[in-house]
Amino acid sequence: MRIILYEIGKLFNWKVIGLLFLLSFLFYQLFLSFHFEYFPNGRPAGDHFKITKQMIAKYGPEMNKKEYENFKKTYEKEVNKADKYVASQEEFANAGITTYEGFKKFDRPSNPELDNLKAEIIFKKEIDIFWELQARESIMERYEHFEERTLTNRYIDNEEWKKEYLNSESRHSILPDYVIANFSNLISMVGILIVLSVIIVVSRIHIIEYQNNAITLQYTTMEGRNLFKKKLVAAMVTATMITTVYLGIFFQLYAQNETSEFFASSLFSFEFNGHYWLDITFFQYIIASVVGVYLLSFVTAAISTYLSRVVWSYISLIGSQIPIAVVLILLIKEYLITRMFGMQYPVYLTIGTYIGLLLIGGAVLSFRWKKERIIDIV
Amino acid sequence: MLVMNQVSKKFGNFTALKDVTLEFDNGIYGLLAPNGAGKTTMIKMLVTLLFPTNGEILYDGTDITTLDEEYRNVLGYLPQEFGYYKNYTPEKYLMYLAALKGMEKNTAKQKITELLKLVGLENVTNKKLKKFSGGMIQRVGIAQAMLNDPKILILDEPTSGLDPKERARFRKLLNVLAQDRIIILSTHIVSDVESIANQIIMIKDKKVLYKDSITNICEILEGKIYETEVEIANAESFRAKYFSIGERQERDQMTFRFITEEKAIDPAWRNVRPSLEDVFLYIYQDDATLAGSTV
Repeated sequence: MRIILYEIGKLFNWKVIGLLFLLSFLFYQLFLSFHFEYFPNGRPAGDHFKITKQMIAKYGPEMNKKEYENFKKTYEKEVNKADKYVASQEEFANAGITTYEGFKKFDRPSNPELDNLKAEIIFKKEIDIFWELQARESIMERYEHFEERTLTNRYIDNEEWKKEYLNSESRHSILPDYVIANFSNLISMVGILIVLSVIIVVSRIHIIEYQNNAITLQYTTMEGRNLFKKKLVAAMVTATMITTVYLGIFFQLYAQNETSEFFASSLFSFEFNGHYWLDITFFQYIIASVVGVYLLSFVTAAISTYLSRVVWSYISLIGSQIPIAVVLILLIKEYLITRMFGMQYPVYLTIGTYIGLLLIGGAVLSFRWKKERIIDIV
Repeated sequence: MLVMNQVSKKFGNFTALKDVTLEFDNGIYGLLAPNGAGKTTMIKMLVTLLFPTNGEILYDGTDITTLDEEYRNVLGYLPQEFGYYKNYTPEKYLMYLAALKGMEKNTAKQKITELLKLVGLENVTNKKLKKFSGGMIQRVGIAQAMLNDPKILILDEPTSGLDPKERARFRKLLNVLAQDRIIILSTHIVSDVESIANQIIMIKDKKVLYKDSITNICEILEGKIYETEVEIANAESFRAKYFSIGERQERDQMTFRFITEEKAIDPAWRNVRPSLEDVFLYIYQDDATLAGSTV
């Protein structure tokens, strides 16, 4: 254990820590802060967010047909309130518009004055009822047309699966698609940040010994060539530490997005335009993403450890890490974290890629360990 | 006992060592050869960094590769250029190596205090290594080699970077340590081993040329080493005729130390006792890396 702690200690110096801080700051400013500061993004997204939370409080994570009838009644009550408001507006009354329906549909080009007044009510005065009604209408539209959207989904060509999907109780799940999109964007960028940080820190694990000419001394101690395995453990512990710290900070920040009400809602939600393969809850999706990030972190640590042992200079190390980092970033943004289990790609591709990456990481290390035992240290 | 049995080492088509057979018992062995002769290859095989292409290395009758960590547990090694972390203090550096050597933390702490005192670094235990001179670094290297109280201590060019005072101190230290262990000292500096080695091993043409005591090795040149004074004007022709192993200028004369196998000698020549350095220069006279020396 002492050796592992020493090896971990060697990986962190003030330059490396400074670089991690700089990278994290840039990532936060460029890719993350927007998704914290502007979530939900404007109106009626904010109203939609509030209403879906109210729905969960009232109906639970799913809204069955009976509950949907209740939702429609609430909508009608809200429309009545809007009707009263419209009727109370003299300009609209004079033009014969006394209902919310009339307010929504009047011929705007022929009534520029009324159009301006409508814009003032909605955008300047920001009368909540009109935004909330838009949000409610969008929820109702999605709830009522979920089947059609599923049946016409271009990614699904298995009719039996479509039926199974439509018959699932989870399709009544209340989970706005922007909640998933927001989390998915954030966790994938955090995943990329973690992969890059692991590369920066762990890649030095063997090369510092070359640079300091320490291998001859290390390999003639009792620990000897087994140090390769200890360094591997140190690399994995370091990757775990980096991942845990980043995820810890990320979830602290993510808590401000206040999405916990949706944790029990399924990804089969009627709210989605896109579809997911697995009937799992939002919370399970978060856990799956976290597991994915840890796996990617371990794969990155494994490959970095291997490269650090086989290259001789920092320049060649950087050169060999760039294509690996690019491939991992593309995979993360495509389907390993972003759109994880999304129907754009076969579900086995996601799982297969993770298994493949783990096998590659394991294989290169196993190959190197076999060589390490017999290689001449010249 | 440490035994090298018919050991050869090849790197591709290049043969670095050929059929080396040696036995080491407790005592100091000076491994003497010019740079590039294969000393470091031999040492790297003894410390398990290189594996023999042919032959075997046995410690107490068992192959050292089979003994693995059991062998390295009794091994202390100071490489020619040993690595260290410039931001570590000697204490931290030695604690790290003690961990690699499988030493308990408390035992290591105690041993490190002793060793730093022994090598005269007790007052700089918390100073960073980057602030150390070459000699101080070398002393840290010597300390690390002795951390685990090794039965086999192998030192590759241990005195490089040490000043004369430190060299003398080092030689004294080795004499104390040699009582109950094998010490192999690889060097191309004859004076490092002349006064302390029980036996000298000389390598030439990838093979062991001699393994004997200094007295026996010097007998090779018995009756062949002379000193004489030569006019400066005649120095060039003298050099051309005899193999000079040392020259010194005094006023208008040159004093030559030289080797000759001639039977008819000049009465002005003084026969002198051969030294190890004479033998070294004689044996490796065709080696381009050897520099001249002074009497």
